[in-house]
Amino acid sequence: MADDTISVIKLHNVLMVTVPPDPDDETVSALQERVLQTMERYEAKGLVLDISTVETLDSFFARTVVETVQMVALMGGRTVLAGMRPSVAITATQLGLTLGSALTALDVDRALDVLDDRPRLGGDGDDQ
Amino acid sequence: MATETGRATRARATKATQRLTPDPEVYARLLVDTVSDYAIFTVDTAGLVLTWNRGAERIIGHRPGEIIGRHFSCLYPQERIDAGVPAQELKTAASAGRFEDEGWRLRQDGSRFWANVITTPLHDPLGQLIGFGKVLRDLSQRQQATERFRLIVESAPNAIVMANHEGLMVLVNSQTERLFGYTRDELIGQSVEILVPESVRSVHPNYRASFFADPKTRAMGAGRDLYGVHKNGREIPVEIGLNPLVTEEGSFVIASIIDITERKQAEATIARQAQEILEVSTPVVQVWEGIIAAPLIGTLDSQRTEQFMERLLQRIVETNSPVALVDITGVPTIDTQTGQHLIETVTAVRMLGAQVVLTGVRPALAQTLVHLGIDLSHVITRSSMSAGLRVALDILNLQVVRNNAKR
Repeated sequence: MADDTISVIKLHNVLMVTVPPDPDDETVSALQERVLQTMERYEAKGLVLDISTVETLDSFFARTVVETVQMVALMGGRTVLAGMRPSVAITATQLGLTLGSALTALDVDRALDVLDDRPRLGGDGDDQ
Repeated sequence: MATETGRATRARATKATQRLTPDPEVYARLLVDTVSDYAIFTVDTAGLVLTWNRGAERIIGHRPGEIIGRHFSCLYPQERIDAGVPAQELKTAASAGRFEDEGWRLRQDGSRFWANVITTPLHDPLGQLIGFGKVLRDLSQRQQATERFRLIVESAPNAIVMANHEGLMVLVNSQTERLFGYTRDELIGQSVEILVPESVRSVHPNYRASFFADPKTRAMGAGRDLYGVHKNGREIPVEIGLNPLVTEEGSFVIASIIDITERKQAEATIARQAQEILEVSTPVVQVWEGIIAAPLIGTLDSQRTEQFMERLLQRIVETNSPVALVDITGVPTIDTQTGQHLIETVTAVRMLGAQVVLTGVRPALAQTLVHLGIDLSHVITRSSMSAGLRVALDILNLQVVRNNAKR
């Protein structure tokens, strides 16, 4: 999949990316590239990765996501993974894949809430 | 023995032991008289007993004095005498030169025994028929063994089919008739394939060939569901054991067939009930907008946890609930594995963008968790469901306000 098929949408100061279903390694790398470039251009405060169409989560994808979260954080933004499918979550858990410090939300709507200074709605569980 | 050497030997023997009678005729008579494993006797052309050896006395019981001069038909059961068997036997032996019979005979005391009798016509040097020689063997022991075998096969709870190398049935028992709906006559001589479902009928001869290539006692179709076909076409779930049997007549296979219809039904019922229990025991309900609750009841094993995880995640997405209360009040005990399952569930829920509040952690459970070293420090836990609900409301920035507080 070519670089230009991934669209990074900027809404106010948040970037939104819909990850295509079944992304290959190349797409995942291109996505990271595009996201970081856009971050630089707009100095966005947050990134929402909509993964609601993703049906499988492999280790490369998981690692790239974790890296992207760290890179975006270094550039001053916070990342929320939105809309992971139950089946994907179960498989990922069984495979022992982790998403590091990435925030999660049930959907894009709630992801925006998370970025909107209401972090408790997210899945990072900073309760204790 | 009429050779030169024979005569010379005999001559020497005569010299050495002059008091002994060297006549071979005597030996022959002695042999017949003394043999006790066979009843050897002769009858005249009319069937009256002429001679009676020691074996006859032992096996049949009559002493020579009692039987000589009587008609040999007294050795037959009445129904065979009525059928004219004794007379017929002599007739056949005279014309064919030999007659062999296997059947019931009577002892002196009237009891029956199973015997093999060979009747040979005796002729004088001129070729005139002068009587018959009869050699009788007592087969009652063999008969008993055969009878026992038959009874065992017949009374076996399983259908038993014995087939030869070509797959033709040579023996079936009454259970086979009952199970497949054919009569014995309809089965004997037929190929076993008529009892095999249509779908595997074409490959079955290959299975047979491979069995005879390596004949071993084993179960048929390991791991597969086997079916037999009833005469009316209905397929019956069965379990089949195969035993090779090598006899003088060739190789055979004995198939022991058990109808497992009832067991299959029971298994299906158990599986369905297990599934129902699984579903009943893990309800996931929405208690508030954005909050679902799942009370866990009973022991958590891998299979149940997996099912529970699936349902929980599914409901979280369906109801768009960021908080899931998982109540473990009804879980009797927790071991390392169960703890691991719970942690997995929490992790998976977190990936969705929701979080688990684990409630119902009783003192005993808390002790167990700590002693086992199950680390739930990154999971929100509460001792009661109501405490968990307060946490959930807090997470959602909701507040429950008493109505009259405003007034």
